[in-house]
Amino acid sequence: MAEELKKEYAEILKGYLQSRDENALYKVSILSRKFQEARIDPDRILEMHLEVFNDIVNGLPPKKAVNAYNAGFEVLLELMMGYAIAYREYVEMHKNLYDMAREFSEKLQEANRLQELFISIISHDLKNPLTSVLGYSELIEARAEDEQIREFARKIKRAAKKMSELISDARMYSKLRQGVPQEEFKEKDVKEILSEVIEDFKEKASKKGMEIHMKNGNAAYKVLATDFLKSVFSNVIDNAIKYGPPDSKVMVEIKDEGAFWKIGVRDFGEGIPDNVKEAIFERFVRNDKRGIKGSGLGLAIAKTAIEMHGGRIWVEDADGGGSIFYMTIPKLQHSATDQKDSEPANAS
Amino acid sequence: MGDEKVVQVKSEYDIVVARSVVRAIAKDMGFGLVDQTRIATAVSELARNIVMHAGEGVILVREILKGETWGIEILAIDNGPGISDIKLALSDGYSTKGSLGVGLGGAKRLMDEFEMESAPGQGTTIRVRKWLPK
Repeated sequence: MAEELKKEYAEILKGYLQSRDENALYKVSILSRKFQEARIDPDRILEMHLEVFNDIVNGLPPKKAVNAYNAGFEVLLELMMGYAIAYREYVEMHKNLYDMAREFSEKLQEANRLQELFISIISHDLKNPLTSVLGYSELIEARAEDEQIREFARKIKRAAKKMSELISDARMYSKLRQGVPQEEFKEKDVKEILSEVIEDFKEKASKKGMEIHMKNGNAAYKVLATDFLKSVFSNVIDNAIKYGPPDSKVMVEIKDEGAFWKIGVRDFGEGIPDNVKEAIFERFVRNDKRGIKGSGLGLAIAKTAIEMHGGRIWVEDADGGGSIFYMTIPKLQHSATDQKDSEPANAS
Repeated sequence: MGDEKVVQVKSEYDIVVARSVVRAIAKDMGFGLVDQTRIATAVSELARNIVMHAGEGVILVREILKGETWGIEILAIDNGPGISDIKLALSDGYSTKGSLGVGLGGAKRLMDEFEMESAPGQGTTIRVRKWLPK
């Protein structure tokens, strides 16, 4: 590009030195924009001008050379003038784009705030009537004599439960997005939380003939965490049960990763295609639509929550099929003496 | 003074004519080479604006005197569609139809004075001035 422009410039310059024609200057002023567009630096342009100019005047008698020098300067001036203006315009344009982007970002933040406010309002207002729906559908199921009516009641109950879950997810997500106060972070043990979750899901897993295994022994895995951490584990383990085939296992393991505890939850499902490995942690993206239930908020909640704890969540393919969801959480930093006590391995 | 040159502007060729007429006057008046180039570049832009947006118009050039200061005044007049948003047209980032690339803001910056009158359907008159340094 630079070479072509140089050639074009050389031709115009040569023409002007012979004719002193205004048209040549006009052409240069248009050419100057191309120099700017090609991001050729001003110092390089000056250099280029001299290279081209010296080629042309080389061998001219001294008097002609002096005249040519003046004319050459006019051309260079025209070029630099146009360049400077094009550059100015370029800068202004980017400033305008920057301003627009900033304005857009502010509007977006405002929209997000409104959305979160909306979610928190509707979640409160929807929960109450839903409790009635659930309660009365249970009542109908218990009291109706007609089996078909009982079946209808069960369907209503299932739908209402589903809706209730959706609302809870939305409320949790909204709460997370608004930020959690520092005092809600408390000293907890990752393994204890995981054990609780595994206990909670035992029944659900066994209905599919599945088992949840955790490898770790009795060591302590201390972190600073909120109650959201349990939701994160629940969500990931719930998914592993949903997506794992019947009679398969879900394997849970905590590893020591320096400053972090790394939790892995492995299933034996079909795995997650590479192109959605990141997208599943966005809102309302779910890997398939084949009757797998969930709001599509679960992993988005998990991501937001785990990041709030200073960790990360991601998914990898497991050797031999299935997926492993990994989560990291910073270890709780003890005082120096505590650390000595809790890490006798370092002494040996 | 009082001597006024008019250039009909219809095509790219006329832009070059306008430049050369204006440059000759500026040179005669004693403007230095850098100012001559500034003025020529501004005229380029004004003339280009006429060709691109109005199709045709005129460029008027004259010497003016204010107090003891001589200056050059250039008017660009057309009967084109006019400009509804003058402020926008003068912003540097604004350059429609991929013209010379120098928005009208360039002309404004290159000259000492810049005035513009325009309304949709009523054409555009732009007046620019540059004063001769004493």
